Amino acid sequence: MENAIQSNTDLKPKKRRSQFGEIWKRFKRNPLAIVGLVLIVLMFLMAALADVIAPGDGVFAGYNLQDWNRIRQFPSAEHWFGTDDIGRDVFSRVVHGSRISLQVGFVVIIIGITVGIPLGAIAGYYKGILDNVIMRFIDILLAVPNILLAIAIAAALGPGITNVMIAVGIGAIPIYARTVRAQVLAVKEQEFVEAARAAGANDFRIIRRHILPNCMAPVIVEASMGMAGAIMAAAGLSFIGLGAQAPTPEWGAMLADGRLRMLAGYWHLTLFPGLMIALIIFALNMMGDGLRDALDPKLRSGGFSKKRFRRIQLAKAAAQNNSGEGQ
Amino acid sequence: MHIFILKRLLMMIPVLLGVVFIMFVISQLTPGDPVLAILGEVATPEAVAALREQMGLDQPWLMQFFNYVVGVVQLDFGTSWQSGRPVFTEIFARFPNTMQLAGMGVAFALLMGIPLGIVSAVKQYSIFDTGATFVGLIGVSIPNFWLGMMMIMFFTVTLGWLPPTGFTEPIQWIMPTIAIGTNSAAIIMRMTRSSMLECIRQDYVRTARAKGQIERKVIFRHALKNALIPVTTTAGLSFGFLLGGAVLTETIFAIPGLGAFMVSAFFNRDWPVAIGGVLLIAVSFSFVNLFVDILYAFIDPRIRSQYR
Repeated sequence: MENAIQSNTDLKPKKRRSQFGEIWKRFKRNPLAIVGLVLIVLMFLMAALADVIAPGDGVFAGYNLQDWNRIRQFPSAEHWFGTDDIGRDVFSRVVHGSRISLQVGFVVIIIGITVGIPLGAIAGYYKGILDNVIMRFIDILLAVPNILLAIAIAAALGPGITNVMIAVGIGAIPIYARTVRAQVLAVKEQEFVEAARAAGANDFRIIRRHILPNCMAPVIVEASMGMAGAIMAAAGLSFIGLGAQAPTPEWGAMLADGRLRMLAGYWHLTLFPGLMIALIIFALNMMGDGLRDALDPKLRSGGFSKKRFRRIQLAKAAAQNNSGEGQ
Repeated sequence: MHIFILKRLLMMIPVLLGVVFIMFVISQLTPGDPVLAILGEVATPEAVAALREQMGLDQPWLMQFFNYVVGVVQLDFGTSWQSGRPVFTEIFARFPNTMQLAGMGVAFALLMGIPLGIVSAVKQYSIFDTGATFVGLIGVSIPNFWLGMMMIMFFTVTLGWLPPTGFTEPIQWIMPTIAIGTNSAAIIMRMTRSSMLECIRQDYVRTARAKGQIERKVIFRHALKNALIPVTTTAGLSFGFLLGGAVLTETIFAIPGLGAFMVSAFFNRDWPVAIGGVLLIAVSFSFVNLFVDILYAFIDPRIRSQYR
């Protein structure tokens, strides 16, 4: 009896972690995801400090400082990424370009989410004719390749980075609507939804407070991957001339300028802006992979991970060691 | 099965109507008058009115939409506002190049993606797997238009091996195919790997091994066949992705395809060409998706029995 009480008090209360803490714990175990996160944080710092890293001289912003004595120079100690057709420092332009790409990524996701989530939630929750109408509309959007739809909308709205964001954003709606609908269909059959309804909650409250929070894991994953896709699509649109207009230092537009000098061997004009696009997409994809694994172990891409296997082995070894010491 | 295909074909009609309708709405949102764009600002009102009537633009746009649909059913896609030639001939002069490009891209993606994915899954956590996973991540992240330019930079400018533009000789196909197919190859590789990993751990694979089946047969006959279903979906989706991606690839390699043609149509507000092109691409995409669904039936008898 006494023994039982003793052992009971010995049991340390299990440290409770918040849901976020749990997710973070799983996320940080994935080195690739951490590399992605670090790269994105660096990218944000670069965007925030662009004017400090590449300052202007009052008349021109840093990315637009022209110097006709230094046109099309190859990379050097003075100009790390070389200079372009009108003597602007490519490094400064690349640094300032991060602002635009990050902005594009966020605005597109916000458009996609604010339209896509309600559409998907309504379709999944009410089913019936509303579901049919919404999903047929989504089918139509999906029947046209995303970039083509974006080109059509951007062409109609006229060139400009804002219109590109709207165009790519509309193209992003179907993914979120579909993801949320599928989740809502599964979640709304669960007991706690029934309980909320029995407690007298109305449909809006049930969707907002009880269903949607349980649908967010795949949406967050889609958003981080979708941001990568949005940045790539927007750069593509700028590349064909629909996006940012001169002298905006947009990476896709810089590639379009550099392409004209490509066959003449000025590789630095295309290498660096493209490398930045690839880098930011790479980082977002790595983070997305990590988020998927951390948010929902069921969605794991790799099945039984080596890390987990090793952890179990280590735990076993530790347990053996402990019992060995105990004896 | 026949009924299933028929049903799917019928379901395509409203979707394609919707595509044309949305394109019409988009064209209506566009500022500017196409008639004035053709004739110039100094045209006489009579000339403007005459051309407007000739182009059918004097009618309400819902009527224009209706007329267009009636025309499309008879394979009349209207005439290009830019060149004055029938859209049908304009588009079909270029469509084969785009289809060839997208088809070669998918073939490249499958030939690279599936074998790499299988080896990666079978030799999980080996150096090869780590390397392939990393290369896969890079492949997913590289913008295809930039990859195309970098290849021109390396293989044309530096090494002088491959021609930078054109699409008539097979040697000109190499770079565009790799440029357009790399994203999809990486996506298919990742999909094959994760799908194979899941299948390898299934009980029926263990059973196959337990009964003494040789490893090669276990992998290819038991695991791969089941793992291919999600890969087929991905490949179908990438075909649509590639049809869209062709726009940029064709621009870079100066390929006379539908994508580059449509970009200029959009820029010039040549809506008959733009709408016709989008419609044709949507039709091809829908047919590829139908083909993928039929392919499922051949891979998986369980799905075949659902097709009724």
